[in-house]
Amino acid sequence: MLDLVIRNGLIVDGSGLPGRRGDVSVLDGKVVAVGGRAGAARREIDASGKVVAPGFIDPHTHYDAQLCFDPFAFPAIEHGVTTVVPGNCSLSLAPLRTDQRDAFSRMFRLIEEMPEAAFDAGVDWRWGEGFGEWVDALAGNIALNVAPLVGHSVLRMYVMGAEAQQRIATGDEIAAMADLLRRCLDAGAVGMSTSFVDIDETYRPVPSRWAGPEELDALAAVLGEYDRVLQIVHEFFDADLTVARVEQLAELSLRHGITTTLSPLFHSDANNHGVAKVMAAVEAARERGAAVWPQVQTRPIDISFTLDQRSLMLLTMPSWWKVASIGDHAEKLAAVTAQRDALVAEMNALEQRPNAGLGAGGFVVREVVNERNRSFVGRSIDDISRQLGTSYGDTVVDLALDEELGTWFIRESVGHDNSTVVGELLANPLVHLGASDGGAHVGSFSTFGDTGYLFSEFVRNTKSLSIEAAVKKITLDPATIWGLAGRGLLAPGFAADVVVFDADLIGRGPEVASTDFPGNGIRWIRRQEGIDTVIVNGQVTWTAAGGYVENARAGQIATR
Amino acid sequence: MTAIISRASVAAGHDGRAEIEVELTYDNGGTSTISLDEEACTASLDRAGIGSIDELVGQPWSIVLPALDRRHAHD
Repeated sequence: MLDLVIRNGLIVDGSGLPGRRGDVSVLDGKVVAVGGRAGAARREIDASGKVVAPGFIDPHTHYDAQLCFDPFAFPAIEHGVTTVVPGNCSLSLAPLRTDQRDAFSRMFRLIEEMPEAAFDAGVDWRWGEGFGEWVDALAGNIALNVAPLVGHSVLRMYVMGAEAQQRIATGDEIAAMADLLRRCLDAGAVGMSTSFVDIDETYRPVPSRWAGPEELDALAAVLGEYDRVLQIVHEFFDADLTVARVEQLAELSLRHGITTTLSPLFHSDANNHGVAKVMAAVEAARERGAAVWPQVQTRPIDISFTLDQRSLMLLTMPSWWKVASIGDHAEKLAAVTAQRDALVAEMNALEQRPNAGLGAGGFVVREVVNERNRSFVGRSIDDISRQLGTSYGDTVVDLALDEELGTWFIRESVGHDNSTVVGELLANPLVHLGASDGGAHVGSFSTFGDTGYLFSEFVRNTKSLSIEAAVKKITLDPATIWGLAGRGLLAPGFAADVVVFDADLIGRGPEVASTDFPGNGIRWIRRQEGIDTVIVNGQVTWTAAGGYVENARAGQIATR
Repeated sequence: MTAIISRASVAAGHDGRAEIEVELTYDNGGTSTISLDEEACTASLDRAGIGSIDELVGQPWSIVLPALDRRHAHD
């Protein structure tokens, strides 16, 4: 008897081929049959009217810390994500010497915006120092699959100590790093990550940025021995520097036979030619036979702000910038009250700002101080203004003054937001869909829901991708790029990582505050929309009807 | 060679944070782009007495030097 059958769904198997109706059979954590009519099973799921697809793979995450205290990487799984790649951007929790934990933690918390209280309460370093020990500590206590990168910065710290941020390495030190990288790859690392842009809390370049080209070449050679991946975060803000990195990655790829990926690649209407220039370089690299994959995220960029603090949003409103610059809070409140009409007018004028897309009607109330205003949370200023019969500026200022300027607003889609252009980019076969940054920036914005947004915006709205193409982009494509054997496809013998969803409803919920992290801080998350069931290695791990299966721990180290 | 700020706009930054993207145009017509995070941008504007990103356009590139100095103060 089968363990599980998913009946009557539209099977979109990850290959990109047209979907077909039928059953998916699962036994011992593996898919054993796809299509046709399955026999009896211990558990059956009716997928009538729904899509049955491989579990989604998120290749750019920073769940390193969260996985230490949350085996579900909440709420990643409910979005259909069954495999994650942590350790991006040169930072992994191992290998790391005991006396380097504080320095590393400060760096990680700053770059990935993880609150100190949550990090300290959640990361207990129970594995000791080694990468293999860290992976062992995860294995057996994870509800989704993990393919961990080892960070170049920590390799450097482990070998060079404090001098990792002072100089280039000697030949002996490079050899020691290469040996250490081999041990990490033996222990299950999916590759190595490095950074060319990040700084630590004292504004010093992170250790990986102190490496000379011969060091990166030596480490890439080790990756070549194992056919593993090199991930970099590059000078994303400059198209010419990015092109140079693409060419550097192409050389490393060709010399050592490795796959490389750079992230993030953003689109900007103000700098449209930049993306075209980078993609031309990627195309040239591919024509030479190099594997260079630019990662593009689906979600647009948001700005969160209050009227109490100076922020990028207020930089578009000079009068607001001036009052927010007043240090004394009472004085600031008095200034807002006294200049109210002018400030309201300036905020209303945002609607006329050319090409900025910053209009106040699109502000959404993110968090309030007073419970009496709770009903406004999650609603747009346009919506509230219609209800109250007030102008956008009046609505924002009245609410903020009622809360002594403590109200938090979010203006969504202020960058990487041209869905037509981003959709074309995502559909490009040379583009790797990723860069979600799951598990990072928890106090700034939500990194969850990018896969749902792929379907709601780029399949249903802009129609940039068919549903089959979209599924392939987040299943078989990443599995192939990252060398995750036996995943990313619904086919006999493949891991039974499966997501069942409603193609008309899948999306991402509104950004909401969550207090589930240790340390009692707030983080921002998005809940799923339109997902029905998520299965990891044959185990039902989340359902729309029942939520998370508390004792589900079927996750595996995907590289072991 | 003197470079002038030819564009300043809110754009996507590292890891999806919003940043200010500043384009510099040189005398010979060449351009380059730098990205300033919120803190760096604020430091530059404070030093220059500017309160809006629009006012950056047309300014010499040196106006953003305080931000860059601050970033690399410990190199």
